[in-house]
Amino acid sequence: MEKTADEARTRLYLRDAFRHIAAQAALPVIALALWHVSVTWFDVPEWQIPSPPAIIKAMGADFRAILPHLITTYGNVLVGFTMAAAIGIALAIAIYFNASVGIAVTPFINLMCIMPLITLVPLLMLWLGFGSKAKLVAVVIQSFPIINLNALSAFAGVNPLRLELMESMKATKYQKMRCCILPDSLPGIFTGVKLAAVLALTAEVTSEITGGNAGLGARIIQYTQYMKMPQAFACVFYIAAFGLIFYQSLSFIERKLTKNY
Amino acid sequence: MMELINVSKRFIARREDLLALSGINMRVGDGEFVCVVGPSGCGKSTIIRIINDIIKPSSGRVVVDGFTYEKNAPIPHKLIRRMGFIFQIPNLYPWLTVRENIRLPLDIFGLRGQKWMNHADFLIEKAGLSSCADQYPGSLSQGMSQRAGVVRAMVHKPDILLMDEPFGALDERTRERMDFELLDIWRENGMSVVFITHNIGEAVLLAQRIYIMATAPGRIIDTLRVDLKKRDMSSFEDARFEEYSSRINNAIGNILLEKAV
Ligand SMILES: Nc1ncnc2c1ncn2[C@@H]1O[C@H](COP(=O)(O)OP(=O)(O)OP(=O)(O)O)[C@@H](O)[C@H]1O
Ligand SMILES: [Mg+2]
Repeated sequence: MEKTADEARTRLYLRDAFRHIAAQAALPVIALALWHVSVTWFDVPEWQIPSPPAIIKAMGADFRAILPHLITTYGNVLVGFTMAAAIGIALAIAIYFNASVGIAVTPFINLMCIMPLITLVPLLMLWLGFGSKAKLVAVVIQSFPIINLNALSAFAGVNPLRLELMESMKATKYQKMRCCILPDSLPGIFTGVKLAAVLALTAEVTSEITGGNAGLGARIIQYTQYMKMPQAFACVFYIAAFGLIFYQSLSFIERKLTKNY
Repeated sequence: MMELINVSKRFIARREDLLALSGINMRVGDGEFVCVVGPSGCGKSTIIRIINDIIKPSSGRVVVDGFTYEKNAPIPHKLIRRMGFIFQIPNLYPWLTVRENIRLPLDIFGLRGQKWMNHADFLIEKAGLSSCADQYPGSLSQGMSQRAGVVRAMVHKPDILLMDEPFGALDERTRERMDFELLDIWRENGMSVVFITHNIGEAVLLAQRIYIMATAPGRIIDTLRVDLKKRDMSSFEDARFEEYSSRINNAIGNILLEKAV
């Protein structure tokens, strides 16, 4: 009895999951199909717009050539993003413990949020060279402010009654943060973290396009210069795939962590 | 013994000046069960929050066993540990299991060791929460959640319970059952209780002494000693039950009448 109920639930779950994936995949598949049909129909030359099969072929055939750049891009984004998350959240906690820190720092963080990063990248490269250092800095300064701002507004918007429980026990500032404010703010923090994931990837690729020879962004520029469009698009696809998986993974972690909220 | 001496509270918000409490004098003897009744907005919650030092009085002071706290003198830490606050809603943290929620005050008050863990488990068992102790609060009924809220407020063995309309959100029958269980706990442990309610019958059933309040400004208009032979289901048939209820009704009604005239 118990067993069949479990089985039924599993079957139901699988069916829902399948439906979900099918629905999500539908539009991309249709788009790729339309793309393919129109380039073949109108006989568009490959150096203008390659067909999806040509791109997918390049993704496999040129994988060895692309791999080091893929590692550079993915690695920089992951490292930079992790640093940004640590800095953004740590800074928010520091501001909670000492308001003066907030008064000193917040104007700059607001400025960094509205500043178009692209204007800074050439300068960063002038100072730090064309290697990973400049790009990491770009990724961090582009993505940590949004994490910080979202964490701060989540702290400020903490459920007042939950906080009152802490106050009814005269909890210390540290206890309030650990037991109430931080966990209560988790959904708000994740809003910032997911936005930062998008910004981190954008910052990394933008920096690669601006200068240097490493990374998928730099490859796109070089491949286009040699009219190797399937390879250039292969790099675009690798970037898109990473962005998608990265974002979905964060969403997944968020759902796991906040499932009882 | 706990005393409120000439306590007043003024809320100033957006240039509006509200005298929420005016000249409150209250006394709660050791092990006494005191109820506070009054219409919505008369400042009942404000009184209990002042006792717990969650908010400060504008003037007047609170004295508990010789320790005084007031506007510029916070409550001694020793006293805070002797109080347990129960909210109108269960106010459990959704990210903690029921058991973790109940253990929270032990963490905040630094009561470590197996002895306290066992005490928490003992109370969980006694409250009939064992079967759901390791679930998250989201899956509990209102009544069970509030039970957990009560247990949480008692886990550090306070001898003063502050209850702000704790069963007001429950249905009639659950509320009645909780009232009787509370009486059992009180008889067993002999703590002092300040119990806020706007339900006159509940006040008469529970209290040894009732403070009756009126609005604008929030003040105490009458005090009533309740002397029922027994406090159980038969109390409702007790002739004096009706008598007490109508006396409270009249006290509140007279004030309303005075206003209307
Ligand atoms: N933080 C605050 N700022 C401004 N006004 C407040 C604040 N807290 C309470 N008040 C006001 O003080 C008055 C008394 O509030 P309180 O919550 O103590 O009433 P109450 O008797 O508990 O009412 P209820 O039965 O609705 O719970 C109300 O008019 C309320 O609007
Ligand atoms: Mg209230």
